Amino acid sequence: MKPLRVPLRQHREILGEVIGRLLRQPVATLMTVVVLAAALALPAALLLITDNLERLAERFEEPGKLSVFLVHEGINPKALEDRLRGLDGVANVRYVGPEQALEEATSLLGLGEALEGLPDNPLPGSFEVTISPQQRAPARMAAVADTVSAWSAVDQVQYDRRWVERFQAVVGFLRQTGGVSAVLLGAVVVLIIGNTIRLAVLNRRREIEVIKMIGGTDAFVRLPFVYTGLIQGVAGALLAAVLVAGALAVLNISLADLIAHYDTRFRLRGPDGSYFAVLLLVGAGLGWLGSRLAVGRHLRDIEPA
Amino acid sequence: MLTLDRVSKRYPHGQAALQGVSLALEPGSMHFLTGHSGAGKSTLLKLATAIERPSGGRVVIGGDDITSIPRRRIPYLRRAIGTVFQDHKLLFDRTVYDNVALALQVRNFPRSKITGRVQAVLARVGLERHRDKYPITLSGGEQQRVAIARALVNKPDLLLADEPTGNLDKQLGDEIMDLFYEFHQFGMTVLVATHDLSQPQRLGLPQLQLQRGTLFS
Repeated sequence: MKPLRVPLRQHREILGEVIGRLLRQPVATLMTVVVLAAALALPAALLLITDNLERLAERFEEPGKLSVFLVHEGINPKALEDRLRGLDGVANVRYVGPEQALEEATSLLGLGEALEGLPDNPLPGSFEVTISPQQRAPARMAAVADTVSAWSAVDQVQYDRRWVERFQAVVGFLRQTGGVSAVLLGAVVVLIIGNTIRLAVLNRRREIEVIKMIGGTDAFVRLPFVYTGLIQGVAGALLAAVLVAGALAVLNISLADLIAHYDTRFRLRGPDGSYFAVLLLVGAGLGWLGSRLAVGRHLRDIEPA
Repeated sequence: MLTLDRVSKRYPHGQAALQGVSLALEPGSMHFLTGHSGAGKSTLLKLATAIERPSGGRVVIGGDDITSIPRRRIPYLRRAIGTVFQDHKLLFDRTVYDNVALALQVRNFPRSKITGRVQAVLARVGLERHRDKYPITLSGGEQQRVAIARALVNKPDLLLADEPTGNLDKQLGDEIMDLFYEFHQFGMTVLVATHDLSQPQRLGLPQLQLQRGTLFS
């Protein structure tokens, strides 16, 4: 195995030194961390919100009813009804014959006089099909509708799914916005950390010169700066997680009342373990990247003279 | 220990700093490198530590040709050489102890081993009472001793000093030179660049004289 360029024990010592240095400048450190947290919290929160909205969409009670309109002639309602009942997910089927449809139209819609003037009853027979609650996902409803509308006795199938699709489109758009902002703000995090590290490198120019003069390797010079970026990234991610969790707790309280009207069981889902882990990894990774890029750029320029 | 073979150095847009300089320092020897400022003394020392690279000729240290040493090997070259500068290049935000310990930290020495060696070398240059002070609180001669301790703590084979007494009065300067002379007597190869021509005579040591980039011995 290739030996470590800097042994583990020394990593610990350098880490301790770096933390000490950061704590000795609490205001500067805190400001950097707060800015990083803000940049990380925004996409993290968007991600959490879209995640919750998607869950909400799944839980919404679908209308759950299909109206199957039949062609005018040559149909056997009884056979069709049996066929509909045989479909997977169908809970109930009710036949509405043309005469009954006319009666309902007359009494419910007040169209009596207009319809009475017609020589024939223009309304087709129809089935009102109720889908069992477990099968009301938009994809499942669409599948049943597609199957049924292919039958020769069926003229058309209607159900109200458009608003669900629109809602999902909005959630999808939000998710994409979250993705784009995550990339942009991730770049911002790299730039912020890169800039603080660049200033730190320039501030410690003399020290770097001396270390190189007495035989310090690039890895040795680089390490404290890379750790500084890494720690700031992790601290920013931790604060971001606290901000997101806090904001969510407040939202949960104010939304509880609203949500109760729709579905009493629904709660905004807070950040879980893996969400925290990913956030920390992202913070650490961006911190490492920013500091590594900044140190790499400036390290070669600083040589003893 | 240090061999230069027809070495020349020309800085970009400048005149030649060194021209056809050849020398060979035997292990354990001590020499003074003399000459006016601008004669090329610093350039010669910088070639030995790969701060500068020669425009022509060969530089060999301890059997290794470092004429075109790759960048990544330079730290290991410098660890084998102790270097002392006129402005001593100490870090003022660290104590005397930490300044000296840094030379061992860059070599990945464990902390437990560092303490003993730093104590010993500080005692060697007479600074054991000042270990926890900051360099700014010390006199010029004491600061130079800290720099010497830092150069020695690695137990280098070769010690290079560039005008180490340039900022010191005669008496302090002599003390520093005496210190180098002691190290030479313990077997270290020493090369001291100075414009103070009294030192070679005082210590009875050979001098290498640089004049406008050319060496006379």
